[in-house]
Amino acid sequence: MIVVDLRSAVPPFEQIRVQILDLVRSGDLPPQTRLPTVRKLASDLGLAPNTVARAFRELERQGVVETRGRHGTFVSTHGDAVQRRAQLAAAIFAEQMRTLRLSNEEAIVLALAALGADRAPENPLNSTDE
Amino acid sequence: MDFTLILTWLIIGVLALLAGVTLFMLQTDRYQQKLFFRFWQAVGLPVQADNVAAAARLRIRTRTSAMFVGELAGLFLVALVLFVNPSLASSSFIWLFVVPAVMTTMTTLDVGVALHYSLFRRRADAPRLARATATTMRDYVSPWRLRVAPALVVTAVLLNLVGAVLSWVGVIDPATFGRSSTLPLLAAAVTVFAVGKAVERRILQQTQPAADELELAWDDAFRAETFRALLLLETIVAWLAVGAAGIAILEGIDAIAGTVWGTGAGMQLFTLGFFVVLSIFSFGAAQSHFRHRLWPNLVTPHPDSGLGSN
Repeated sequence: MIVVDLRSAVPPFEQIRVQILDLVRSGDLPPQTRLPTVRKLASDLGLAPNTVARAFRELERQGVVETRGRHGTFVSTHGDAVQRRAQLAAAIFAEQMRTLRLSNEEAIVLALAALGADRAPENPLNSTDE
Repeated sequence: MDFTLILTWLIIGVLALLAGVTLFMLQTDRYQQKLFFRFWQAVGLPVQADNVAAAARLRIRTRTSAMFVGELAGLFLVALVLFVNPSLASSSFIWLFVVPAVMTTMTTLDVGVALHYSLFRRRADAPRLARATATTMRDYVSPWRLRVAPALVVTAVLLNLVGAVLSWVGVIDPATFGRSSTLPLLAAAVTVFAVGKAVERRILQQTQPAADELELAWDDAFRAETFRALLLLETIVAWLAVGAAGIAILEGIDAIAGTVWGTGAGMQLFTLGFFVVLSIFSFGAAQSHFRHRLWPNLVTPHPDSGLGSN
């Protein structure tokens, strides 16, 4: 639930932003959950649509939510922006390894070497792809 | 005046009388309290504040009044049709005209109340609460109940196609099938279904002013009730289309074979199916699905605790 208190010194858009962020971090709003539309949330809270839109924009900039055109606004796969960027980098890395026709084990060895890991996983090159 | 016409007028008169009596009884506190208590038990939400009970009672009164005024309007319309064209009076007139007309006008006014009135008003000094997630029809009506109306509309379309093909190949009598009211009822079923979906989207976007979770939960209860009425209308009209097409095929077979059992059996099955449809939207968790889905942690005190007698 989102509760807005107009008597509070905190601006309404900030109240909305902080509460959604808390709900995402606590897991009450799991990834891929669809948020209400700006207009619906604004009318339920008796606020101007611009106020809610501003909160959503801030959350989108932080990587907590993502807008998918007409489908609405959704909680990002990872509300944490750092984790989301790391996931994206990993996806790009995996795609490049496939382009180079390297096996998963070879890719893992290269990744560990790049990370400066002390040792590679147990016999990575000896195992076969399933 | 033949017996069928007299019987049809009698049924319309009895239905109008019942609606009138209900509207009269709605003016009494006792009947309002009875309706509130029944609704409270069905939805299973707690009543912990006077303003919640008062708002719920007012909404039940407004909604019930609107629905029975709608019933009277529907009966007036069919009475007008019957007055202008008494030859329409037949054993199927009640199913083909009275039931769809009455249900459509009742549901229309019910939806009108839901769209026009908010259960609670926004108070200047109170905090404002809203749900952080978007709700869908599945939050208010169980998925399998949602599938009944579209499944019946598709069945009606298929039965009409089957009827047309069987008429073409001569298995059933084309004249008998053509005389039936399958196509107008199919058009009505498709129209009601399409309009119903548009109205559902409109209601989902409707503002829900609430100062706390209990107020929002009660607003959800009435919203779920409106959806239930809307889906019942869609399903019943779709069932009428299925029934009309099925009976028309059986009548066509009877006309070729010179028998009468098909039409009789079809009518029996149709009537049975009508009550099954009513049961689907009346029993089980038909009225409390939203609570399990949206408010699983709201606990209802025992009805004898006196909290409902506000």
